[in-house]
Amino acid sequence: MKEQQVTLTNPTGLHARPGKELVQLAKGYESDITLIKDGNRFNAKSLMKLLQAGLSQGDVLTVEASGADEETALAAVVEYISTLQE
Amino acid sequence: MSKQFKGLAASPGIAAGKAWIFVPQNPAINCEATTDAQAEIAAFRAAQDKVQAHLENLYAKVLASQGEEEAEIFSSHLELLRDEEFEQDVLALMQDEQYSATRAVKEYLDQAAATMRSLDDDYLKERAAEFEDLQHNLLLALNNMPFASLGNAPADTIIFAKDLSPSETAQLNPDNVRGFVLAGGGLTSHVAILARNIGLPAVMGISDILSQVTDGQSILLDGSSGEIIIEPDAATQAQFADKAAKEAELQAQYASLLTQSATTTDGFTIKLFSNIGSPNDLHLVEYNGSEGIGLFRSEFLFMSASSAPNEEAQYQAYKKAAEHLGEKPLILRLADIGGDKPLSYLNFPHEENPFLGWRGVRIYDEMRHVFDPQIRAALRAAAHGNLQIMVPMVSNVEELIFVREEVAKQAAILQAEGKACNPNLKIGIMIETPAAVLIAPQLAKYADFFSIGTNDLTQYVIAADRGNSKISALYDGLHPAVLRAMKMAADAAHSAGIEIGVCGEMGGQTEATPFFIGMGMHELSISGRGVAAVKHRIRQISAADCRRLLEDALQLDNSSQVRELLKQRLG
Repeated sequence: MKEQQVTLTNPTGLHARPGKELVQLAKGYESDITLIKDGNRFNAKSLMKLLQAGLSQGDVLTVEASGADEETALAAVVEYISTLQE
Repeated sequence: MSKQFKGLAASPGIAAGKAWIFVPQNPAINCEATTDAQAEIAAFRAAQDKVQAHLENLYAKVLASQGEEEAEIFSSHLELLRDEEFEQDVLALMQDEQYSATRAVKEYLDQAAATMRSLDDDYLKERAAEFEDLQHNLLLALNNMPFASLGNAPADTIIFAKDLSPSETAQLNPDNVRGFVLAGGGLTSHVAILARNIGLPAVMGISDILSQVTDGQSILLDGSSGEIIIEPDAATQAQFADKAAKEAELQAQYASLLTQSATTTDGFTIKLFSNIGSPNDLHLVEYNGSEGIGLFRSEFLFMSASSAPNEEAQYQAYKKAAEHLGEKPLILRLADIGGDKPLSYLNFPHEENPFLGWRGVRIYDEMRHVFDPQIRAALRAAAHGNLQIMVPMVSNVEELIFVREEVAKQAAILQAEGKACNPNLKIGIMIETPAAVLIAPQLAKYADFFSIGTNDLTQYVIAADRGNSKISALYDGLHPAVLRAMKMAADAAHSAGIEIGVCGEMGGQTEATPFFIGMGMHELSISGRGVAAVKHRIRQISAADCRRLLEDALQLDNSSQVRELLKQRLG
């Protein structure tokens, strides 16, 4: 299992469109990918859960990946969240 | 019999048309315990397929008619429709709890929408609509009902509805629709944004409107004032037609002013800027032909977050705006929080008198985790454009000196860290307390510019809370005392050779424009799409007349006399 912290800087947070992109990115990996905010865990492959997590600008998240491709999965998800700007 | 209502002015414009009430279908929910879970699951799968075909169809339709950005919402809905956790949980409800497919979909998504609505972030809150939209579509499919269609609206329609979902508005035929009236909705709701984008008037938030109107009634709608008139009499119709014609004529004139300067008939030119609340409003610069941003409210970053925004998040937002503006000035107001704008995560104490309390510059020394990152972000973003900072709520010279020293300190730290920044960025202040007016000559020694915050200055000079309806008549920016206060600040700025502007709501009020010209303001910063109206006014008057008008107005007893004089002199 690998994990890394990342800050969400996108002013409108993680709403429907970037959420969908993130889920589609996560689904491309075999590993289980989880976003953790304030101790609550959210499946990164479920837009339903990610939206309800209410991820806003400035939130510090822990991304956790576990599985065969955990290293590349983690790097890709962290990269997406940290550079998201719209 | 004509009936009149007033709601939220959600999208400007004037429209006349026939009422068309959109009532969504009301699909049934089966709350009995089921005996055949497999049949329910099969029904759910079939409904998913139907909704998928429907959403794909909408996606293609909207992509062709409105473009990719508008169509994206349906690809998010498709993602939700096939969401692995959603499927798993709904199947479990049917298998283990003997829920019918309709009940499982209903209760699961009700819960999800309720969770969304309980979030702190206003923007994310409204996304509960996506869950409700998906729920509605699935329930329609499970009941073998057709998907709702606004596309059936006849010509010249004013649509009346409780609220409209993205998949409902996607069916809209804009050629037939003249405007929207919603019982629900809000200024940032999906329909409000859509209406403004396609340029149709909308009025919202009149909760009992659906019981007051019937299909086919004749309707007049003013999206700028929030007025709706049902079955207007001939006189009102004529009045509205007149208003619409004047509006169209004015818009045409305004459009022709876009590239012209705001110059009076005797050659005095003033700069017209825009006020913005977040980088999302930057398009107003192009829309208005603005020469800069006179007020960039940084509070949006603090209000929409669940914890204080860090330096990087702020830097990115400010940099984006600074780059957009290029050489044009971008005046960033440091966080004006506290007082009437408390934040849950910052532990502001309860105050008896928040407008006279711990707010603006007064909190910075103690709230280092708010102030330091903001100063650092501003200094770094100033390396990418003409960013200037403005300090709110100043009432003492020491407060300004404190900010200057802190800016110098942080600039030195950034340079030591090897981070690019502009240590020479301009630092100005808001003139919004009577104390700042009365010591304006002293403040001008330390400030690079002044900007009058007319909302607070008016309420502090008159000692009248602008939010209190009992005394709202007292709150008046054309009170001779307020005009005199503003002139004193302007005179001090002129003597010291620094620039002075206006960034409160009065900056966009055309009745105040001649007085600002009379005071010799260098710049007016205006909210929304109001620049053209002010420019139009300036180009009709002479600065010499404005100066005489101001001198004489200062001698009058009250604001009614001021308005009377204004009318006599300048019409």
